[in-house]
Parts: sequence; C-alpha cells; structure tokens
Amino acid sequence: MSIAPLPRLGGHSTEPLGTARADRWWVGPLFTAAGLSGFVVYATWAALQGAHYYAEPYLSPFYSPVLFTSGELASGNAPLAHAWFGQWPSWWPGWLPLSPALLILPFPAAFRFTCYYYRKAYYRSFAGSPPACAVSPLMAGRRPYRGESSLLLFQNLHRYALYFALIFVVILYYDAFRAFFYHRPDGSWQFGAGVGTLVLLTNATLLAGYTFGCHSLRHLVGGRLDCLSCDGRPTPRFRLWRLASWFNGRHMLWAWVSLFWVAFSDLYVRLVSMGWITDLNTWN
Amino acid sequence: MGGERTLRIWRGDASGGQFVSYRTPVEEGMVVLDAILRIQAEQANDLAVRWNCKAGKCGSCSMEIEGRPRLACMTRLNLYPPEAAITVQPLKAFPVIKDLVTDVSWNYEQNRRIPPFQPGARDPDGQYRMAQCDVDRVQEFRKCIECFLCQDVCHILRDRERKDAFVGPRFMVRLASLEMHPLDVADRLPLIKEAFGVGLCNITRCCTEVCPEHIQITDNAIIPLKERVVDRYYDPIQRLLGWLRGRRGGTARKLPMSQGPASAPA
Repeated sequence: MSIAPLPRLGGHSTEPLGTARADRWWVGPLFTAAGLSGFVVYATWAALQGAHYYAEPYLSPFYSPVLFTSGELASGNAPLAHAWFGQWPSWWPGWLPLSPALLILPFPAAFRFTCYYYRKAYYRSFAGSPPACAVSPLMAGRRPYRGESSLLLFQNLHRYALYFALIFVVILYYDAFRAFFYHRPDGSWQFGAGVGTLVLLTNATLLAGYTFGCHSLRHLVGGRLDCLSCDGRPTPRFRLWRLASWFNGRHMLWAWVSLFWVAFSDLYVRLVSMGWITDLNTWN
Repeated sequence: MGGERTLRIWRGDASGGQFVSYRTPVEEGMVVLDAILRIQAEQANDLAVRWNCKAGKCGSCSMEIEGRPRLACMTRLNLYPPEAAITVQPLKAFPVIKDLVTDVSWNYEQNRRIPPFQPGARDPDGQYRMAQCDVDRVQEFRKCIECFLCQDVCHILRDRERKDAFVGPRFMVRLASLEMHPLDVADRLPLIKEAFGVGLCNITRCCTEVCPEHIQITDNAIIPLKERVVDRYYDPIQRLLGWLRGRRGGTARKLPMSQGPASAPA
C-alpha cells in the first residue's frame, strides 16, 4: 500500500482540460475540428471563385440555384437560361465577387450551424465546452455559464433553416434530374447519364437523408404531439415520425457523409469544367 | 486473466483525502466492484463504497473509473491494460461523504420539484386508455435506474457550478416522460424553460454516452423538450398555429403548474 497526496477533494482536476482519463480523448475533437475547418476553408474558397461551377449538364451544389449569372460559358459560368433572374444586377456591390454561391451558401450554412449534431461537434471541438466527456471545459468558472439561454438563443431558430433546407433538397434533386439531359449546342436535348449525374444524384440523396433526420423536422412532423395515434391505429403523422426517427438515429453519419459529398460534388464539377478531368458519360 | 492488479483508490472525506494504491489478486471475469470489495475485505475494512445488486440495475455503485463515470459492477477489469493501475474516484459532481460514497441527495430534491403525473378526464366507462404505440416513446425513459452518471458527467453540474439553474439530464428524462405521456394534462413547459433550465444544456451528449441503460437522453428527451419550448416561446408561426388551434378547440389545453414539492412523484 502506498499513499500519494493530491490537493483536490475526490482527486478531480479543476484545471482547464483536466481529467483522469488516460485514453486518447482528444482524438475525436481533433478530427472533428480538422474536418469542419477543412470543409469551411474549401467551401469559402469555392464560393469566392464565381467560375467553373458549371459543366453542361452539371451544376455545382454550392451554386444551386443560380440566381444570377454572367453567362460566360468559357469560364464555367452557368448559361443565362439557367439563371432564375438573368444577368447580374447593377446594385451588386463591386467589391464582392460575381458569385451566385454567395447568395446560396448562407442558407445551408445556417442549417448546419444550428443543427443539433453540429452544435455538439463544434461546442466540443472548437469551444471546448467540454472538449470530451469528463474533461474539464476550456473556460469553466470564468463567468456564469448560460449555455443556449442567452447569447446562443438564436439556435432555437433551427427550424427556420430547416424550411429552407427542405426547399434545397427539391432543387438539388431537380439538378440531378437535369443532369440526365445534355443540352447540345444545336439546342436539342439528349437523354443519358455520366459520372457527374451519379455524383449529383448521390449528393441530393445524402443531403435529403441528412435533412430528413433533423431533430426539428422529427418534432414538427409528430414529435410535438403527446398522442401520436390516440386510438392505436398508426396515423400518417405517426409513420412520418417513425421515419424521421430512423433517419435521426443516424443523423451524425448523414451529416458527415453529406458534408464530404457536397464538397466532392463541387470539386468534381469544377475539375470537369476546368478540363482537368474528363467526365465519363453516354453523350460523348 | 489472473494474477494481481493495482487499484488507485481515492480515500478521504469532506475534510480532504488522497489516492491510495492497493494491489489485490484478481480472477477472470472480475469487475472493478469485485476488486474493490476484495480490497475492502482483505486490506481496508474501512473503505466506503455504495453497492447493492451487482447486476447494473440498482444504480448504486456509480463512481469514476479511469476518469469516466461508470457503474463499478459493470466495468470489467480486462477493459484496462494489465500492467497499469486503475484509478477509482468518487463522482465529481456531488459532495464526498467518505471514500467512494457521495451525497446525491440534491437529485432527490430536484425530483420533488417536478409536478407529478396528472391524468385528464376518464373515458365515459370510467377507464383510462392509451395505445401502446403512444407510450412506447415514454417507456424508454422508464429504464432509468437513477445511477446519476448522467448528472455526474454533465458539465453544467460537474464543472460549471450551475446546480441552481439546471436540474440535469436525469430530470430532463423524467420531465420528458411526463410531458410526452398521452394521458398527462399538466403543463410543465414554463418550468422546463425557466426553473429547470433546459436552455442551459448545450447538447454535447455526454449524458447519453455514459447512460448504462442506453437511454437516448439527448435525442429523445432533452432535444424534444427544447423543441417544445421553441414552439411555445420562440417560434412565431407555431404560436400563431397554437392560438388558432386553441380557438377551434382542436387541441386540449394543458393545465398550468407551479413549481413546488410534489405530492407523489410518478
């Protein structure tokens, strides 16, 4: 028997990041921080390019829907017919790049930022609040902790970001559908498929899986009711809630796979548009 | 497995303490509680440890093993490298009484603050009826064994010293089981938002990770409660819809509740 004195009652550390855990608890937050940072850096770079986001018939999901376009096909911009509102308006600030993505990305960004899964991910990996279970927070005790009841109250608006995300699922499926039809220079349409078609179809499906597992959606479709069936016969809302619960149980997986794939989809369209890779398809 | 293991156990009381290392013979299949009880029997008769069922169902032997909140009776020794000492500590979130025993009475005080189950009117034949698919959701919460590991790992209680403002995951589970119950008519949402502090939870899911009953505390209890609070207090569309439903008499209004000692916890 040997005795080793320690200052803290119970032997627990109160220092920032203090813990008695001997495992590599920091690996998870580190990979999360690296993954999220990598995505944010790439998405920001891609959004600021304003070029090579279109390669007939593929449109990068970062730029969908195209609200305005210059129509310069040579630099990988979408054709004029593809833009909802045509040419860039005169009021667009000169210091901002002419990039349709700047009008689009705030919506999916808001959806992911306020997502209950991503909140866990970045509270742990960026705010260290706490960085891992039974590890002291980075900034414990410096001021009264208020969690999401004060500055972070805006997280409660996640469902409004969800409403936009649902619209984007429809738009991205339309883009995937559109990617089956090659628009020839003579104006005719040719049905077919390419690797890009599969990339965009997978992207829409993964984003749909992520969106359908949203905690707010699960609540709104039925979770908010105390009595889902009342008489024991499953109602459509009960079935919807069960379906949303299935997706919700795998929300983290959908979140990461869809995040990776949406960046990959943009990269794929970009490389095809720049002529760096050749899209294997049935048209050429 | 066999041979001997070293356990580094925190010994002390409210006035202070220290880690004491014990070396004890072990056999295949032993759990940490077995080793502690052997040390208690053979080397340290005054070692205080709370335990009861040794089957992971009473929730008594909660402690921190190698820095993680765990049930000692469900933690096998062979989880840890044979040559390394296993560090055993009392729960961090609650005051130490002696050695590995903590005073968890704060939790029972929180339980008494929750307005109990309040059923609505009976059916015309005098019965209460509910469908299985409607209570499946709340039956998950009944698995809770009140080991308070979730309370211990919650950083709001463990590190932030906010026991004054947040009741903790265990009682969010109980509140969810009452709020989602198809027969309950009490309205606890104002209390959930203010007195019980659901807004303080930043859903880092440690409570779910440590739950020995694998209750999806965050996804199935806390987040649904947060969403119900959003419905009531932060979402103008839901407020408008709720008002319209109320006018049409489509949804039974819940009875307002005040915080205070409850007569009979459900």
